[in-house]
Amino acid sequence: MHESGGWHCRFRLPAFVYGRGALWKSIHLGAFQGISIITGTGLTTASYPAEEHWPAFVPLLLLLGSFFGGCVGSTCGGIKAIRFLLLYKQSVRESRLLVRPTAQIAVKLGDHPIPDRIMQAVWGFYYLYILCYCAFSLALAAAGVDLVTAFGTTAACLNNMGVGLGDTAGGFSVLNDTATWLMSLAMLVGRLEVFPLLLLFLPDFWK
Amino acid sequence: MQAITVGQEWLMVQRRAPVKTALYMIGLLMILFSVSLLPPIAVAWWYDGYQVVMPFAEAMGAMLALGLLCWLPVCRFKADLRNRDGFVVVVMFWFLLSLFGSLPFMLVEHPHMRLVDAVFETVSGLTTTGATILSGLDTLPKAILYYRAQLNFLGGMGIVVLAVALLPMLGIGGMQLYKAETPGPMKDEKLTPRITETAKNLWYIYAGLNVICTLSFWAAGMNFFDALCHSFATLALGGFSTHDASIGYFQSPAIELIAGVFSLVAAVNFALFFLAWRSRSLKAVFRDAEFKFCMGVMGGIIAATCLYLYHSGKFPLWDSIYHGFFQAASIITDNGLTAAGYPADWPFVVPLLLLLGSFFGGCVGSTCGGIKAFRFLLLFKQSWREIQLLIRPSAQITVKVGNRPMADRVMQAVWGFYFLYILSYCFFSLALAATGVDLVTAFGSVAGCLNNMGVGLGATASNFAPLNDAATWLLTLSMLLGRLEVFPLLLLFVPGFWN
Repeated sequence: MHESGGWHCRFRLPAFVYGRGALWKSIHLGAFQGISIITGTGLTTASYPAEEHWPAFVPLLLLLGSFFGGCVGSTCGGIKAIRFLLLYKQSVRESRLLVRPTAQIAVKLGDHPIPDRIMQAVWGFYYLYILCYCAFSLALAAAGVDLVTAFGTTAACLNNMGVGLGDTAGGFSVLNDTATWLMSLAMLVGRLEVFPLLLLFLPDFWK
Repeated sequence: MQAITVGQEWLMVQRRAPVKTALYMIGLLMILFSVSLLPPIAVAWWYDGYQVVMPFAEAMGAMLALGLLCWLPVCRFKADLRNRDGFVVVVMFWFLLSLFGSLPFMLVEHPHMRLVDAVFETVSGLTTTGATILSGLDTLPKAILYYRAQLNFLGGMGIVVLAVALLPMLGIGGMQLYKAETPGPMKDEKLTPRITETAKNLWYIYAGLNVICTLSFWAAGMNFFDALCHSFATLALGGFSTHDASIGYFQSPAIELIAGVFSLVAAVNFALFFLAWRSRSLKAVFRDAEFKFCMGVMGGIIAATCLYLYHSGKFPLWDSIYHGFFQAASIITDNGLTAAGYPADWPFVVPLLLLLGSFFGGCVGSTCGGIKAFRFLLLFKQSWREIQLLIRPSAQITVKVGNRPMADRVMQAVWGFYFLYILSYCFFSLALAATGVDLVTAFGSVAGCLNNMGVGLGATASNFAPLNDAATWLLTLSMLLGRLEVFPLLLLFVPGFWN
């Protein structure tokens, strides 16, 4: 499904830490940390993401980037590049259709038109993934974790990225037991891509 | 013969003049909306005196002058409005009105705002967001307070929809304008065969509800001025109050309950009210699938809020119920009136829950913001279908709402919107963080503005004044993006659009 390999090369993040040190340091730290977080590797350096060392914008950018993950069939976490590519193409198509409602425009990847079935599966996944993210963040907050930590920790676990934010920036031991159980579940949900776990709770499944 | 051909050619040349079309429409709309400054002038004359009347009159003069300048050169021009022109006109008009509507805020001696703040305040009013930069509302001239409420009122049902209702000469292009501005995936559904009639009926219902709401507030103990302003704010789901403490100023359970109920009423599809009124029964409302889904979700969130407030010991039982009901209803429907020190003094799970709830909004065709219940219903059903298809890959399952199968076209439009909306949310949060705003404030403020809800979090919990200028501009843009539902604004940047 993803032969057109050229599409998948990702833009390397500019080193936004520039200004906090020499140019070269910004580049090598920025490149390493950017790649490590977006792909869901989760190795860190230079005390990332501690507030004293990194401007708040970078952890947020990379946290959102971690939803991106990488290519399908790789070892990355997150929503995956090909899904985003399809979502993006579909949105552009929608914009075109608003201007010319009768036009026939197919979503293509490389030169292959994508069947509606696949598009629908991608949409369904995207919706459930975002819903899971919100549900786990909310549950974590209800367990008594503060907002930034809740959002950051859920992103770290659901995307299988592994670096929290706020209280969990240095390690996850500060979480209470409820929160730890929740995050264990979130990691599984993220790794198995939501559907398999959800299926088990469907009455039809057991018939 | 010759003359007719020449005439036809002339007509055809005229028809393909998008610039003239835009000037004609925008000129007319500006002239129409300069009239909307008359009521604030009357209020200023009654309460505040000459020094407040003049700035409003100047603002009105400026709008009228611009309108005439656009319209007079092309006033004998008649043309069809194509799809594309509709979007251009609506977007340009929203931008222009935001700019000119901000004049009173800048010209009146007190508050005497700067451009960036005044535009933010105006956009916040017109998009029915209700986020405010002003503080010390209680000491401002009454005319300014009324003007803010009126911005809510006009923006509630849609300024262009109002224009379509009032100006029959927009008739031909009216449908295009209407489609470009009205939120929701089912824009082709009309109440009546003629778009002017539809727009008129929507406004009758809206105005009628405002009368009932004003009277209720008045009866519950507000003075008439406050009752009118809060009714405008409530039914438009806007949220501009005349007091810094918002609804909390009145310290009255009755007023909070009324505000909560009318917030929910305003989040129902106005087309349903029209059907109910015509058939003299509420059956049409209660049978509607979106209405049931919407009220179910809202009921759940409201119940959770009340329970949590009581359980956490924040309020005693009765206070938990009415504060919880009012505050949850006000935030989920993207109204944004607040009470009892929300959100700063509340246990923070509640603001978080309601913040996420504010993405839900209410029914399509209401005055609410956010993603809308109908879209969530479709998203939910589609995901359910996906799961069933995983078990039985060859099954034929269609997504139905009520008993009607949904067309693939509608589904795709909903998906596209959902993706872009979430993307916009992430983008604006990031941009805000890049301007130096802290994370909680960034997430909360963008949710407050993009969803047209109007209550921030963190530094912007009570007021958006602490933000820097860049952040204020960004949030202004996000309010417009949310109100026009992303696509119309985005369209202008799609390369194919201008060919």
